[in-house]
Amino acid sequence: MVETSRHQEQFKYTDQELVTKTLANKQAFAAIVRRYEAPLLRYITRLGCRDSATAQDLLQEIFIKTYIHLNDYDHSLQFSSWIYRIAHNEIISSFRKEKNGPTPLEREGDFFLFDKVVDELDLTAQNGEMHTAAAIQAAVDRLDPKSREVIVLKFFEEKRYDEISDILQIPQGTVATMINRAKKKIKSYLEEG
Amino acid sequence: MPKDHSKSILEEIEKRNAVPIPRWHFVLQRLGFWLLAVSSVVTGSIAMATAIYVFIDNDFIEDHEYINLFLAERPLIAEIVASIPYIWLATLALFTLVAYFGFRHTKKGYQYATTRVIAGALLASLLLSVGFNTIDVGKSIHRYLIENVHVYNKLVYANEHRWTHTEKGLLGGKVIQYLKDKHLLVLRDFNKSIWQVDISKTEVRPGTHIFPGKYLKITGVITGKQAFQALTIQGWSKRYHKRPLVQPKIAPVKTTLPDTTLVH
Repeated sequence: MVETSRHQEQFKYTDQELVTKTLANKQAFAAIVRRYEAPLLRYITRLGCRDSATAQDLLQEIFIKTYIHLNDYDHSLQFSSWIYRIAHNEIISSFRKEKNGPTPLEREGDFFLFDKVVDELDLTAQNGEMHTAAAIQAAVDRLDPKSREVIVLKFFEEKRYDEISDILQIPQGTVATMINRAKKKIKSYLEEG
Repeated sequence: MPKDHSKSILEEIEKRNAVPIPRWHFVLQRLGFWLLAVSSVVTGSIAMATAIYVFIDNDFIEDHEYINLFLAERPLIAEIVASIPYIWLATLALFTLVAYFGFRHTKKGYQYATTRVIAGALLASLLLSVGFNTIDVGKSIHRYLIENVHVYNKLVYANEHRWTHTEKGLLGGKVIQYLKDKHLLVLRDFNKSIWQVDISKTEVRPGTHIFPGKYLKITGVITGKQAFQALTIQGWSKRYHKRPLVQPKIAPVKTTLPDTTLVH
């Protein structure tokens, strides 16, 4: 019964309404956590945090930071972009603190997404065949962190250009340039083999 | 499927006594960045106003009659290159970068390309500097620094330096005293030396007013220790002000002097 009411609450209100409700009563924040914990955990993993315990700690810090900064949320912005921005900054800052870079992307869970990258980037091998997901994964793993971030957001998190711009806090034009550059790099890595 | 963390996160929030930071804190922060951006543009425009003044207040640009005199010293291109007020341009560049930094940290600042923000800041500085120069801001700052800050003289090659070559017959400075009946004026040059200037045989440019506090450009010859015989006198007007229609003939200027009259 309690589960049902929680579930209803999670989908009854918009993000903006939940923010307003949380500022009045912090218990409402639980609905935000339930709504975003799965996508944010995936995002943390995709950005290269492979250790489960570290990922859970990061997730907790992201939500606490979100709660503390709720008054900074600009309602003209999508809440998802804003919380992803906090997540992105927290993950990058954690990589810097730990002095270790992102680890390779996981293929199992995102298998269909690698296929999507193949389709969207039109990555056809010289012999006319499509590159394999494994080859794409190897190429994406070789990308520098910034290029990898935009590729993850565009093809794995399926964010639009304006959302990526809001998350990474860079102009939309720069997002497009970075995606094109990353695409060229992926192609050249694939050609190298 | 990840487990439900909402309970543990709420507990952690409780444990840390975490509360949302008040809205005014963020409003103040954004206001701070806007203030930084705007004040940097204003400071940059003051630097640009001064740079424009220093470059335009340049006698080799308008007074073609004088050009040979200056070119005897160094070629025109070297004269132009030396006249560029690099220190003010560097100041403008610095504050434009600070303005960019401030704007970049405003709420929507990240949405604009770096080149657009920098171009916008420079354009705003340019427009403001034109406004500032209509009320002589550039001139006042430059004049204050040239008279009071010794190191500034080394950083800027200004028109004041051109008029501080009495050995070449060029004397510029501020009138300290004007004895009209004795046809004499006391002038302090930009090296803070005091000169007694005889104006009895002087051609005064139309529209030139002589009174204490007025800055003048005088051509003539040294006649003794800190004594100068003026041949022409003109006011230190802004170059972009309308010049008198009647251009006086340029008086002959001696470039060499008898040994007895040399002042060291």
